[in-house]
Amino acid sequence: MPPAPRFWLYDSLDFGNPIMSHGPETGPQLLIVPPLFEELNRTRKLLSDIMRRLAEGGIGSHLPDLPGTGESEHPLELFEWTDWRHAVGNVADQCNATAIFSFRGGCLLDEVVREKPIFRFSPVDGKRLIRDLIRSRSITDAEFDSDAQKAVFETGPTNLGGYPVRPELARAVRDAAPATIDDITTIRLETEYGDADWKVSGPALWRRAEPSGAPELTDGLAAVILRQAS
Amino acid sequence: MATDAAEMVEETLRAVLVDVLGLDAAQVADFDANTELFGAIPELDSMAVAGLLTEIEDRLGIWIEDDEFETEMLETFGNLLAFAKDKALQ
Repeated sequence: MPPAPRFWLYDSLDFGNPIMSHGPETGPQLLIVPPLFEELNRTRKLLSDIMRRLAEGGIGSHLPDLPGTGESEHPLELFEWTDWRHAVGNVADQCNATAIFSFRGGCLLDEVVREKPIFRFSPVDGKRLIRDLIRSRSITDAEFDSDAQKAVFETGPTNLGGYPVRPELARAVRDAAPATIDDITTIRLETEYGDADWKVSGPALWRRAEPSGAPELTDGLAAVILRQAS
Repeated sequence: MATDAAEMVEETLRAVLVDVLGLDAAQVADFDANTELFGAIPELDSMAVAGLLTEIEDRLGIWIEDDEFETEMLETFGNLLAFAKDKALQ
């Protein structure tokens, strides 16, 4: 039987936040800075498959929930962008991270831990992320007209992808872009546009309506990390 | 030349449907102007549609303003293609 993942709480903002860890507790420790909002739900299975694969390869990995997301006991409307930045710094210390794997919107937060080697997968500008969420709601909600869409950034909180998003947070995401950092390995899908050090095959699961895992993508991402972070 | 460019837009659109939604390439190759999209294809939920539009923008080098976006353009493959051609070839 392979070892089971460990569930614990990391401290940030004076309370405990859920985190899942997998693999050896000594040796390389990879902190995952997860995708944001609905994209996290669609990639959770992929992330947990990658963690299992890394554990088999001798790398410990850690998947935190940012305050107000995932299994967090607090609603997202309590939090701002700076809270997420603090959480990433805090959790990196508490899991003794030796490297970072930031994924999609998580790449907007990885500059907090820029002194560590960073693997970025499919980095995306914040304005695209927030626009996807706004568009997604406007497609199914006729009431969500242009005034309501503007209010996302001004009055809020607005329900986007199942989360109550404060205007401060919406503006911060909109204005965020992945930081330019020296020690970065950028990974993208073969079908994706943009510069990359590595290309991996597989589907853009964060776009899929009913995503399961994706063995090919799991293999590709785990292989890049195992090769460079071991 | 205009025909080549229009064909390129159509090929790009079909490729995005395959890559983003994971639809079968042979199925997408059979899409015609009347093929229904949003509401008819289970893979095309609202998040997927938003992603589809973003991907189309990236690949065609266009930017769809919020006020240009109408849900009607997602109803059929023909509507979506007409919109994309209009944007990309203007």
